[in-house]
Amino acid sequence: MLEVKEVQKRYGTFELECSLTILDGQITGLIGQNGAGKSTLFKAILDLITLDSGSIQIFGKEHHELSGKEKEKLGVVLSDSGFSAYLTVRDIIAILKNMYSNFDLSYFQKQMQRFQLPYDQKIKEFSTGMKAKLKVLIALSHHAKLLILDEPTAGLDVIARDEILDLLRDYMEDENDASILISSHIAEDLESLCDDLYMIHEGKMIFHEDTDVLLSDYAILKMSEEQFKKLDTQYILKACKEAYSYACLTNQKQYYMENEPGITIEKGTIDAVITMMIRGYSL
Amino acid sequence: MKGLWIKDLKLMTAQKYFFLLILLIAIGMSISAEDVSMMTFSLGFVPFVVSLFGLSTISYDEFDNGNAFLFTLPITRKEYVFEKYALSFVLAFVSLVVMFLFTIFMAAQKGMLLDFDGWMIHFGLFALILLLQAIMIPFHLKFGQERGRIAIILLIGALLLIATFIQKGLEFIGIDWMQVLQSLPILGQQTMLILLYGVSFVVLIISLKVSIQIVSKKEF
Amino acid sequence: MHLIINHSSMVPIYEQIVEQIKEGILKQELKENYPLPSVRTLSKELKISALTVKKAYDALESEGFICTVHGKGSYIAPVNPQLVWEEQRKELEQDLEGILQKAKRFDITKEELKDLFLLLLEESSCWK
Repeated sequence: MLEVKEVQKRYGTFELECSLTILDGQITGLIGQNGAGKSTLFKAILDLITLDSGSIQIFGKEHHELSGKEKEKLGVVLSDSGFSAYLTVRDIIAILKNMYSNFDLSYFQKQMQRFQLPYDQKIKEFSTGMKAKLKVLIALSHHAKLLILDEPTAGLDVIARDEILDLLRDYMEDENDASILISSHIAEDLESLCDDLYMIHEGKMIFHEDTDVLLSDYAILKMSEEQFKKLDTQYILKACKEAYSYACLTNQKQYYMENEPGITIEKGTIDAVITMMIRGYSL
Repeated sequence: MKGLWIKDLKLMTAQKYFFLLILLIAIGMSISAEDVSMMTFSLGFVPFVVSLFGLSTISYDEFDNGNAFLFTLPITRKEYVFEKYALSFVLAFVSLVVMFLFTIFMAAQKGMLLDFDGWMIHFGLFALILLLQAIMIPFHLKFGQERGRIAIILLIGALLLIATFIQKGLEFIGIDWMQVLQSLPILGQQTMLILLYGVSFVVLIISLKVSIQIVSKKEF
Repeated sequence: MHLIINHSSMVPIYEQIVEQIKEGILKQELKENYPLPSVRTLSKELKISALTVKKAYDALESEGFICTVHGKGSYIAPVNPQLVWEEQRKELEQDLEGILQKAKRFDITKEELKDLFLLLLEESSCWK
């Protein structure tokens, strides 16, 4: 559905250099710190910025060669941009109706009702939560096949986030073979939604794994210095020295559960894995 | 592209009070006019102001980084540019026609004679409006609202400076440009008008091409 | 079908799903031909990745507990009494293992354990 091949873009001292693939029917998450390059990557995918090198293919075509009609299959949420704040939802419906041949008015109206959003108020008077829900709704309103969502839940409370994630889950249930690329720095959200995860750090992809595998096979091992010295390190990905102990990241939890009974083993959550990938060193 | 039209029309509707104000001023002037030329002033004035609204939609798009999202919608950069030019043109043209009809109506009410020759000047103004749009739109697209305005002012200033230099230069050599102009074969006013429109259209086309280049290269 | 996932458990989520569906089949709460929710639907309800659900369904299918009809979805397979018997034996075995380990910890001898077991069997109300 989407293929980013060895794309490079430099901005002064920051350099984005990465690859990424999204399969049909899959929800892929992109997690990273602020400034790691998530938005830059998204802008590259959406042809808002030019690439220094590499290529991006969407629906099998080069991303800058997509026709207006093909762009109708995209649904986009950007974190720092949207429709003019001086428009009302009613205005936006009129615009969307004329831009998308597959605009689904009844779906839009149903979700407006679900979220209790006003039709005739200017967007600049919406709360943060309302604006976020509207942005996602706009992206989902025309049966898009590929959704590109840059931090759709940023700045929202847990209930609002849940409502948006539910909206996305419902969408995937109804649309056959639609795909989502969603970025966030809230690991919880991605854990409960995504099929696979990419982690980006300082412009580079440092990790890619199926969510399922991450949650079941990855673990953080905690041990004393002596235990660390004697440790069988064949499945250790990263190690990190803490105040009085050592922490190690492994993707073979079972192995260490069976062979190293004396070591504390903690479940690999997304946050724990990112922290180790960024702060830890390879052995 | 229809979506773009709707977007811009909705945005301008938000400024409807300003529109009404302009209209009222024009009507007021027409009513209080003593002679024909004052009445026809609005023929040039209103289309000019109205076409500026077209320009303001570019500012609305820019505001709050709205352009980034706009270009992820199913439109091409060419369409975007084309719509802006078309919008400004249509606005100016429609307001010209409306004011034209209105002026005829008012003149008839006042029992004034319609002197078409005097009107030529005001029709000529329309061509100048087109010329102005042709210059302002690309500047606005390239430099954004504030810097665009500054850039235009600088450009006009530079042109005036050059014109002054040429004039002084000619004087130095002993040529009086007024005499030169007067000695040129006298073209009828109508021919001049047609020439003016011709030049304006050519500049408009060039400007369109330049704008498309500017927007195609823009990064958000 | 009411599945409850423990996200902080060390047991992989797909395994939890497999176990709970198996249990449902064995207890006859999930009957033959019962249509399972689609992968996306279940992943929505449980708030987990769709691939996890797929993994669980694939595992259940390879063990013969469910069958998938392409285009229609997954259904509980006809209950294979052999499989049920095997599963039940496995469960009892696990429970008994637990008891044996406990007995070891409490330093109870094999003889004492046997005696205790026979006594309980005699007195048990559910075996009369």
